[in-house]
Amino acid sequence: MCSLALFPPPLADGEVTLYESNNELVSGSSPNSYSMQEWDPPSLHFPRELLKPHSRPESSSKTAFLDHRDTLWMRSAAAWRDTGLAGVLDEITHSVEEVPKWLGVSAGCILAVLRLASSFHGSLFPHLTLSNVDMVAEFSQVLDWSDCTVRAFAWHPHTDKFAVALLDDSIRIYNSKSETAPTLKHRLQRSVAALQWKPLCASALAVACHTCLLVWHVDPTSLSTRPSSGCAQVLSYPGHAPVTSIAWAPSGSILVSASPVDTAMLVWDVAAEICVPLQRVGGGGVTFLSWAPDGGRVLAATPSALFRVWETWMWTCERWPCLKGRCQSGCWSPDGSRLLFSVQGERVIYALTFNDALGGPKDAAIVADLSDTTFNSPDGDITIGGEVQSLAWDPRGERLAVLLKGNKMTEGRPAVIAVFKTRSSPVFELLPCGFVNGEAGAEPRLMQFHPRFKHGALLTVCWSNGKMSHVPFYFVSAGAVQPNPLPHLAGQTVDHSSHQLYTIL
Amino acid sequence: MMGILNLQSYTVVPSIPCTRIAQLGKVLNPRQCFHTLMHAGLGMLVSWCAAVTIGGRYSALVSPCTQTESVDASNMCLNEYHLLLLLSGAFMGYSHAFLGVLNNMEYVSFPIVQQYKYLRFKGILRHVVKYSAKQSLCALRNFLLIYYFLGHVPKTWISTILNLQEDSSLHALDTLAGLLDLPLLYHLWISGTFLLLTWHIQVLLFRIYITEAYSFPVQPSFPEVEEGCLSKVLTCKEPAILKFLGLQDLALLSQRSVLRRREVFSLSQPGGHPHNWNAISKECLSLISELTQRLVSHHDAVASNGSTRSHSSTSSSTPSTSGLEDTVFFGSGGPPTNYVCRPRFKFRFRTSGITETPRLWSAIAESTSMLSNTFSPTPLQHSTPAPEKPSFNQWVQNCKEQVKGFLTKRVLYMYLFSKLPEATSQALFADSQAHIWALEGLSHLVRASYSEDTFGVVQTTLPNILSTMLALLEAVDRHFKLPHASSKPLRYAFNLVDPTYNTMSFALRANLRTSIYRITDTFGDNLK
Repeated sequence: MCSLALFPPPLADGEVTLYESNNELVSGSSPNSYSMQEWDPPSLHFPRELLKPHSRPESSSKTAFLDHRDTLWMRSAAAWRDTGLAGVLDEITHSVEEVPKWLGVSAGCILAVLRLASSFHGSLFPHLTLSNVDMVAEFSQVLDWSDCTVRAFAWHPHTDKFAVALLDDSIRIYNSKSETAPTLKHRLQRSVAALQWKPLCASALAVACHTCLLVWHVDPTSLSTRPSSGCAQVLSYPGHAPVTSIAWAPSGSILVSASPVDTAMLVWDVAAEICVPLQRVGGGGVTFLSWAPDGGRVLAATPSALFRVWETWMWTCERWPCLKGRCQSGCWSPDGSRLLFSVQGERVIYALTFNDALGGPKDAAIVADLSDTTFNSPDGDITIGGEVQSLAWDPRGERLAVLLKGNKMTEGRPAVIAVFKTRSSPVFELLPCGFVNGEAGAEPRLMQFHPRFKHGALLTVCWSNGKMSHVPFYFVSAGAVQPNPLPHLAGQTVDHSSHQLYTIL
Repeated sequence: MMGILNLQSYTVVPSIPCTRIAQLGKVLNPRQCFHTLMHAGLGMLVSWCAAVTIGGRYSALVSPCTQTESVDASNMCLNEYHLLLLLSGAFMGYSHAFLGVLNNMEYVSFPIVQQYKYLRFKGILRHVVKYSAKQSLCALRNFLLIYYFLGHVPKTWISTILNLQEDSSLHALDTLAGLLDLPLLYHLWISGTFLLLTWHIQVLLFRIYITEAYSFPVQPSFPEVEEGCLSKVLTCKEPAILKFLGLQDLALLSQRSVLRRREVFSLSQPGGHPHNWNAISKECLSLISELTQRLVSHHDAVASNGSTRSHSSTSSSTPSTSGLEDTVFFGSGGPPTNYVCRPRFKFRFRTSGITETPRLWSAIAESTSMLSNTFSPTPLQHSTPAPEKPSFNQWVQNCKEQVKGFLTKRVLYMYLFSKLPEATSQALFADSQAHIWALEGLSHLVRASYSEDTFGVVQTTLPNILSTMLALLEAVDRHFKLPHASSKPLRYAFNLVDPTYNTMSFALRANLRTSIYRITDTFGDNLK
C-alpha cells in the first residue's frame, strides 16, 4: 500500500510542475519555460471577469414587474406549469377569499400531507432537498464546481481537440488544426455538469445540463464560430434532471445518463432519440457513471452508501454497499478488469479486480492511504491529504492522478493533485510519483488525461485562477510492443531558459 | 370489479403474429376489417363478462320494468346500462385495432440494449398500465360523444327486435344527465382499461419474447443442423424475423464473443476455405449495397422528376464530393482517399441505367399514397374509400394522363395522393435495422480481425467492405440533402406504438459513420 509519506515533498510556492521525465517531475519557475512537440495544446486562461454567469434564474425577473392579480384560474394554471400539483394547492390555500371554504381547507390538508411525505422522503435521501444547482455542485467531479470558471472539460478521444464548459454556460471547442474556436450556446444549456465526446465520431459532443441532455453535432470542417442551436439534439426524460453524469459506450453506440433524483439511469440511442430506463430500487439516484474502456462494465455511484457495477452484456448489476459514505469517484484500468474508487469520508483508494474466470470480486482492497502527511518546506509546513475529489487513470494505465480536496478553511491545507505510478504485475500496486503544482495561489479544480498522447500521458489541469495547463508525463509504456519514440530530454539542464533542447523531436 | 381478473383467458387475442416491418396503410383490406371486427367482438365479450361480474344494474340486457303503474308485471324492458357497457367494450376493441393499424402496432422494434425478459417486462409494466388507462379514457370520451348523438339508434333497434318496452322511469342514457353518472363512467373506464391492458400486455410479451436474442451456431457441428447455422439464417428471406434475429446475433457476437468470432475467422477443415466469413460478409455486403442502390435510385427519381431534369447529372455529382468531407477527421489514419473514387464511378453507371425506367417512380408514388393515408392527422374513416378497390391504382395509372388535370383540382385527390416526403424517406429506411446490424457486425468483426484473424481471411474482403460502406455513406449523405429528408419527427413520451421506425434513417447514418471510423481507427496507417 502506498501512502503520501513516500512522496517527494511538494514544490515551493512559485514553482510550477512542467513535465515528468526519467521518472521524476521537473519543475520550473514559469509554465511557459518549455514547449512540447508537434501540437502544443493551448494553455488557456479564462479570467472570471470576462465570464458573466447567469445572475438569476429566469423566473426571478418577476420582481421587476408590477404586481398584477390574475384570476385564480389563471394563477393556478401558471402554478401548475411552474411547479406542478404542489404549486396549485399552494395557490388555492393562499387565496382563501376566492375559493369555497371546503376547497381551501382540503387543499391545505393535501398540501400538508404532501409536505410531510416529501420531508420523510427527504430525510431518507437528504440530497433530494438540495436545489438543482447545489446538487450538481455536490456530485460534480469538479472541486468547488459552483465557483469554478471551467465547469467541465473533455478531450476528443481521437484527435487533438477539446471542449471546455465555462461559468457562463457556454462551451468552447479548441482544435489543433484550426484557429476557429466555436462557441456553443443553447437556451437549455445551463449548469453544465459534464461533457463527453462520442467515441468513433468526429463531431458529436454530449452535454449534461440542468434540465436535459444535449448532443451537439459540431462539424469539424465548418468555419462557423457560433453553431446554431439547431445543431444540438435535446434529449429529455421526465423526472431526469439535473443530469450530473454521462458516459458514452466505448463503441459509440449508446449513451448512459444519470441524475441524482432519478433512480433509473437512462440508456440512450442518441440518433433515434429513444431511451431505456434501467431502474433499480435503492440509492435514491445515480450520481456518477464511468464506463470501462473495454465496454464491459459501467460503474454507477449513488448518493447513498452504495454503488453498482453493471455489466453491459445483459445489463444486470452487482451491488456494492460501501462502509462509509457514498462513492465519490472511480476509474477503470484500460483493460476494464480493475476499478479504483474512493469513498466520501474515507481517505483511501480502493481497488476492485474483476476476473471473468473466477466470478466477481469478493471485497475491495485498499491500495493507497491518503491520510494527512506534513511536509517541511522553507515556506512553512504543508499538510497534504484528505478526501478524494476525483480520480483519473491515463489510457495506458501507467499514471494515476488523484485530486485531493484539502481544506479551504485552514491555512496550509491546499487541494493538490497527487500522481501515482501504477504497476499491474506481478501484483497491482501504486508507487509514488509526485505532486503537480500550479502557479502560486492556484488550486487544481479538475483534471483529465489526454486519450491519445504518444509519448506517455498528458494531464490537463484546470486551476482555480481560470488557467488551464497541460502536464506531460514522458515514459515508455511497460507493455508496449514497440516503444514510442520519446522526445529527447536527455540533455536537460537546470537552466530552463534553454528550451531549444526539448522542442526538437 | 375484482372478478374481472379471471377473465384474462378470454382475451388472448388473435392479433397478428410476427409481421416484421409493418405494412403501412391497408386500413381497409379485408383481413384488416376482419381483424378489427374480431377485436370489437372480443371487446364486447369482455364487457359482457365485466357486466356479469359487476352484477347489479348491469347484469342482464333485459330486465323487468320498474314502472309501478304498469299493470302487466311481465313487461320486459331494455337495460340500457348493460347495452352501454357492451357497446363501449366493442368501441374500445374497434378503436384499439384501428389505432393499432394506423400507428403500426404490429411493428416489432428490437431493444437497444439486451436485458433479461423479466426485467424488461418489469421496467415497462408501469408505463403500460398508465398508457392503457389513458387510452381507455380517450376511447371512452370518443365513445360517449358518439353515443350521445347516435345512442338512440342501437337502443331502438334492439328494443324493436326483442320487442321490449321503453322504461320511462329511468333516465335515458343518451342525454347529458344520464351520462353524467360517475359510477357508470367509472365502470366503463375501468373495464375499458382492463381490456386494453390485457391486449397491451399481450403485445408487449409477444415483443419481448420474439426479440429476445437467440444465438445461432456459427459452425454447424453436424451436417443435419446446417439449416440453423448463422450463415444459412442470414441468407433466408422468408420469415423476416429469422433473418433479423440472425443479424442481431451477428452484431452481438462480433462485439462480445471471442470464441464465436474465432469460429467466423476459421478455415474449413478440408480445403481451407473461409466459408463462414465469406458467407457472412457476402450477405452483409449485399444487404448494404442493396440499400445503396435503393437510395441512389430514389435520389435519381426525385432528381429526374423535379424541374432540374436536365441538370440531374451535375446535381448528383456535386454533393457526392462534399458528402465525404465529414469523414476527414483522423489526421493520420483517415479514410483512404483511393477508395473514395471507386464508388463514384459505380454510381455513374447505375444512374444512367435507372433514370430511364419510369416504373420506379410510380412504385414510389403508390407507396406514398398509402402513406398519406396513414400519416394524415385527421381520423380517416371518411377519407379512405379511394384505395379500397385494389384495381383503383392501376386504373389511375392507365388514365393518369387524361384524368390528372381534372383530378389535381380536386382537394380530395390532392389530399390523398400528394406525396409526403418524410414518409417516403421513412419507407426507404423502414427495414434499416437489418442494415444497422450488418454494418455493426461487419465493422466489429473487421476490428477484431486486426488482432484475432490469424489466417487473414478478412484482408481479402476489406477493400470491398470499405468501398461498400463509403458508397452507402455517400448515398445517405446525398439523401439527407434532399428537402424534408432530414426533418426530425416529433418525439413521443412512452408509447406502446414504437416510433423508432421514424428515426431509422438517423440511426443508420450515425451507425454507418461510427462503423467506418471503427475500421479506420483500428487499421489506422495500415490502410494507406
